[in-house]
Amino acid sequence: MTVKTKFRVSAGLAILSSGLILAIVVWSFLSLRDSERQRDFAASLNSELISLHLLTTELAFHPSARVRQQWRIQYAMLSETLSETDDGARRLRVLMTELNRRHESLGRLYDRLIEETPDPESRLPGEDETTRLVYASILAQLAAMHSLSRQVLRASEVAAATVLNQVWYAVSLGILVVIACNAYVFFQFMPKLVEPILRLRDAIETIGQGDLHFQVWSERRDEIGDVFREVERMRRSLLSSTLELKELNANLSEAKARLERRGVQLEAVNRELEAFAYSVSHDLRAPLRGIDGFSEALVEDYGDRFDGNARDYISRIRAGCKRMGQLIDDLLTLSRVTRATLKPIEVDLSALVETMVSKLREQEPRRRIETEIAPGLVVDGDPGLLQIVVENLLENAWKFTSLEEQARVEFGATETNEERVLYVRDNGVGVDMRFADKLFKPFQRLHRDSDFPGTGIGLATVARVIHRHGGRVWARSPEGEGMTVYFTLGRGATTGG
Amino acid sequence: MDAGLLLLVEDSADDEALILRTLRKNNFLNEVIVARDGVEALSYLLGDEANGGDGRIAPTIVLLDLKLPKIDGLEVLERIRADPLTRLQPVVVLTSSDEEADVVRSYELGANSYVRKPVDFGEFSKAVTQLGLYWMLLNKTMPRS
Repeated sequence: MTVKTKFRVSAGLAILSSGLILAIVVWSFLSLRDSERQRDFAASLNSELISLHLLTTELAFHPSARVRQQWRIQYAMLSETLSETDDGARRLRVLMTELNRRHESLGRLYDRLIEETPDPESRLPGEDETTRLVYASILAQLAAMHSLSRQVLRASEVAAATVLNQVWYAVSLGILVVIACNAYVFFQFMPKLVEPILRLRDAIETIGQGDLHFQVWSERRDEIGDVFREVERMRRSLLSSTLELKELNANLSEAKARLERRGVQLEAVNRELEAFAYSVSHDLRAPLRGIDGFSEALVEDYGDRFDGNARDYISRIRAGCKRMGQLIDDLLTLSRVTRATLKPIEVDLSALVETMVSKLREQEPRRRIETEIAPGLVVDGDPGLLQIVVENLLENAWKFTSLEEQARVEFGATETNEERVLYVRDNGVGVDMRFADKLFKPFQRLHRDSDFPGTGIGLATVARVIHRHGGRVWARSPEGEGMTVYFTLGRGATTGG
Repeated sequence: MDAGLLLLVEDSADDEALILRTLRKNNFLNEVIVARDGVEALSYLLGDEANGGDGRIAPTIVLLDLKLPKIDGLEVLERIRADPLTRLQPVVVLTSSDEEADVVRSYELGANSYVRKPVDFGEFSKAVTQLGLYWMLLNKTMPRS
């Protein structure tokens, strides 16, 4: 049975008993009033019968027309009293029938008596036997009726007592039922309601403190049981989602650890790369220096024994050494550019170009080169790396204009789409634009070494520096009009000059 | 006093021969002692440490290569600077490396100068000659007892 049903049944029982008590009280009140009325009736009947008896006696000793009239009035009153009474209980009805019968016969006997003695002054009963007999009958009837009225009175008293008894039992029973209901609610029903709620509270508290494996269980089939089952369901879903979360977390930390491991590996690779660069710098250069040095020593110490051919070979050996040394240096620069940490500040590119140009002029004082350098081109960038860019671009421009009668090298900037594009332009030999995509890749050369010597690393280094600044670099070489290398230094890298 | 003495710390026999030849060609007449690894260099400079530095030499200049067997050049430099007897010893780092880290570390450890060996022999011999001239003739060293 559900809690709701139990509650309803006990409450209904209590209400029903209360109603029953109320009904019994009302009914007994009405019953008592009835028996009261009956008693009143018996009392008035009694007094009227006594009055009639007295008048009848008076007719015997002091006859008069006034007494006869009084008797009649008294008899009428008795008739009225009898007619007013509604017959109630069966027992009372029997008595009433008897009373009415005797009352009628009383009237008839009196009429007969009056007929036989017309003189109102004469005494009743008369001298003859008949009137005496009639008179005696009247007295007998009166006595019988008197007895009947007493019976009515007793009957009313018995009825009242019975009602009171019944009321006593009914009220006691009703109160007992109400007490029983309350007792059930307070000592049986409430504890069964409160105990599991307390248990549930403890369970929820335990679960709330993190013990998600604490099982909640109840055999009850009612709402309390439902609450237990719902809480259990909640606990299970909480547990499963927590486990899921834990798994996700574990996966995440595993991924993190993997990433960290990879980072460590990457760092190791980077260190290896650095060590490699160091080895290249040191170990490759040392033997080269030996080759070059001993070739020179050979020429110096035994030069007189060599013919022209031998000297040519030796000079080729030395040129090879020089070129290889250059290659190693360029490679190291490229690797350094890749590894270096960017430390951007404001850099005056125009000034860098000016310095580089005067250095190049010093190296080749005989060449006639016209230069045009836009002043005040200031950018944000790493000064060391930008120096490498400027050196490479200008060295290239110098190199590829070496065949021009009137060489011209230009450094400037153009503004397009809120972006400043810097450029280095020369009127040298230019390149075949069909191979332009190879221009910025390492070891890619578009000229024969005998025409223009180089390692093919310079522009790759330039491109790497530009890319590390978030910029772009590209070249244009309209046929016969030299070459222009354009570059940007990324958003925010250029500032107004 | 080992005035005019040059200690060359160099593990490459080729470089050693080239340096000695260059010095000789340029009429450099001072005595040159060669140490071929870090341990040897330290035993020359710090002497027998157990006997309080007995038998040590105090050259006018030390030409120190960085990449050396046993104990590398940077550690040699560190040990020289750590010892009160040699902490003022003039040391020139002469090496193939132009790694920024090596340059910075050398100066941090108190190198007096840092010279990179050029591949080109002409430049190389120019550098060695200039070094010898500068440190042996031009430079006035700390007076010693």
